[in-house]
Amino acid sequence: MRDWEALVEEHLGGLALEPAERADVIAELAAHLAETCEGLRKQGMTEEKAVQRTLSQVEDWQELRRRIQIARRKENIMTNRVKQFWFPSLLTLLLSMGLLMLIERLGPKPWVIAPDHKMGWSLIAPAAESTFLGYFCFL
Amino acid sequence: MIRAGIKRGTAELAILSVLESGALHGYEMARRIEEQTKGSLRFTLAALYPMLYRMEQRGWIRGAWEVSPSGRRRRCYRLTAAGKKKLSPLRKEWSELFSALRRLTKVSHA
Repeated sequence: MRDWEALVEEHLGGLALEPAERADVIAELAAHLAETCEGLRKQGMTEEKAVQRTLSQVEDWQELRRRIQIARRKENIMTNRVKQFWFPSLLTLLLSMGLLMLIERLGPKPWVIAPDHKMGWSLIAPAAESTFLGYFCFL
Repeated sequence: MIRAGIKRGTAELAILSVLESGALHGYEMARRIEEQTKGSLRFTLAALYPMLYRMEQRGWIRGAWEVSPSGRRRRCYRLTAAGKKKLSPLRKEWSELFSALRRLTKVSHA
């Protein structure tokens, strides 16, 4: 009896997945090959022919490895991205919006720009600049 | 024999449909699809598993290891609620496409 798991491992051992996940994929594909071969044998095919037909299920192991990696890793990468980037970004955005609302309600109200008859527009309260800079330093 | 491009498009529908009747492992799924389509749709291992893994990632199916009465470990897939929800519009979409093609070919034969 052929060791299908060893055969699959030989071809897909380099799958860039977590070890447990890789072992699962190898076991699953090996079970599929074993059942295919057994099915063909039950139909009356010789061992040699059945193995040959079973092996013809995969023409290009490298391509299969690539396709499995894409299929299984795509969502994982997104999940990590969500954890490492999107959630902290969203949290920072929400915090800064909250802080801005607080500053607007409780803090000084220095942003008053009024037309200057001689020079055009002028900034009336220079304190605004320091508040603004302080806020960005906090972010 | 249906050509490869159309096969790819209908593969998801075929898998979801065959799983509607209950949980199946990959080999049995491929066997039933071939049997029920009288050999028009055939899934090799290389075609089936990347598709199953992709559908699992999308949350349409869920796989779990089970041990058969003969003691063999198999990963059985079943439809999730999202998969069941997906099946109905997919069926409608393909049915509309095939109806349209039927109409078109009748017109061109007339």
